[in-house]
Amino acid sequence: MKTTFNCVLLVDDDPTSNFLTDKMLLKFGMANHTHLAMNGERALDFLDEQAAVDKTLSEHWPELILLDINMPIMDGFEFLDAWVGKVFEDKVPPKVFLLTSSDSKFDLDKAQKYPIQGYINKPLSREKLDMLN
Amino acid sequence: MDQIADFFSNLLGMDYWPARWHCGIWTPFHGWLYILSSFMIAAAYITIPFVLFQFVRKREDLPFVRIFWLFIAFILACSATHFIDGLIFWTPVYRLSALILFCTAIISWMAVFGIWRILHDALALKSPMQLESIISMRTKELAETNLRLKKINSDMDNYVYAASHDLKSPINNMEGLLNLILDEAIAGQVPETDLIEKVQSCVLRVQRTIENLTDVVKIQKNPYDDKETLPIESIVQEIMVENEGLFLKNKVDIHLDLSLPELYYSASGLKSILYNLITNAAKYAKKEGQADIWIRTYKHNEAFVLEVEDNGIGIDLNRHGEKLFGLFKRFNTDVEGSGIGLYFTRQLVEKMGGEIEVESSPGKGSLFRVVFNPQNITNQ
Repeated sequence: MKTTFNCVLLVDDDPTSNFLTDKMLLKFGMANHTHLAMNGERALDFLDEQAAVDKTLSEHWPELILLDINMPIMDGFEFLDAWVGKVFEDKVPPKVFLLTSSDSKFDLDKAQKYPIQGYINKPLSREKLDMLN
Repeated sequence: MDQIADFFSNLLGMDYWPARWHCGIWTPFHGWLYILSSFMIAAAYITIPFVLFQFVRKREDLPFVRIFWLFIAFILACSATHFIDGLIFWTPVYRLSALILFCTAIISWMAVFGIWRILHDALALKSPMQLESIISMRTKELAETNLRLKKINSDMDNYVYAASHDLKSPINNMEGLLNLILDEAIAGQVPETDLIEKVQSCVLRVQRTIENLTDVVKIQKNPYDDKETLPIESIVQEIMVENEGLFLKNKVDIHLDLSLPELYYSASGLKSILYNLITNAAKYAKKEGQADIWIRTYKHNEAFVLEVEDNGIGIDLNRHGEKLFGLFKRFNTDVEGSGIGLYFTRQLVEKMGGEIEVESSPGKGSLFRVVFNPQNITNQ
């Protein structure tokens, strides 16, 4: 049974990658809508903004975050550092997957230290979409 | 000849001389003082070679072993002369005494020549203190080399990481885009032009990254053999002409304050350094108002210092300071860039023994300061 996420937050500075991920999610009915953030800082801003919105109206609160690692200003790991300590009252914490072109051991090892649901190598394909369930 | 034959044939003969006690007038005190002193010297002279012998035997790495043996023989010969000298008070073996004295004379002169010959080499031997200081100096050199190698190694790691990231991203994108195009083709649709254009832009990105990487490799090898005396002002003007569009768009005004107008340096190196610092200052200008860039040169502690200061958007050094000079590191998504300029600049400066430092505060502007190594900028 395939899950459909209401809102998916894409955190990535690469527009082409975002275009692809967005297209895949919508095409295979994995998301009702997506929101883009160009780096970790903008993602945090978005989450703070949405957290302030009333529970009943918060249709943009993401159920899933797809997070790139290499980004300017605030990279994926820096985002996770900030994210882990944050409490969003009344909100269900979203699933977090790293979606990255890095397959370096260094990044993989580092990713193990965070409470995330998985590590996916780009590009997102139909098979890899199943991992998100 | 008869004398010599007689001498050796009757070496121990005592017939022609009285014992020394009976030769002249010796008080017992005077006689015994002479005899006991002679025997004590003889005894001591036997002990010293024994100690030397032990020393030579145990110190296998001892230099100049032959001189030690020579000294052992010399001291033993001296011992014999003193022993005979005392003995003569009772047994006047004056011939034997003369022979032993002669042997001692020969051996002592051999010792003199021996020690003279090794004097130069012996002086060159390092004392333990000198050795220790040499060792500590070498250890320090090794530690420095080790540190340098570690840095090169970590630079290399960063390079490979950054390069693989920047090559993989567009290639992964192409894979995803081609999958979409293929899906559409299989479904009998005409693929969207948009998708194909995106593939093209990925190809361009790969090409640009490869060009950048080639430049980085070039800089690692550049022998900096294009050194000449370079007028700073005309290089700045060149850069202004090459980037006229950018300078006009961001309303850039350049202020020169060159108390040292020229620098003897690699022409391509200095151009790159100035190019990167000046175009960065122009690119990261504030959106409103005029962008001012100050370029200064001056002498500080015998070193040539070059400063490029701007009143642009600035950088949060507390957050990005460590990564600022990293390869493919970017701190702003609003302005186009490859994340290679400052990495390049740092390499160009540090390869020639210089230093680059930065002062910056967000919203106020940045100041990049290059301190050139005095040894690498002299014409002599």
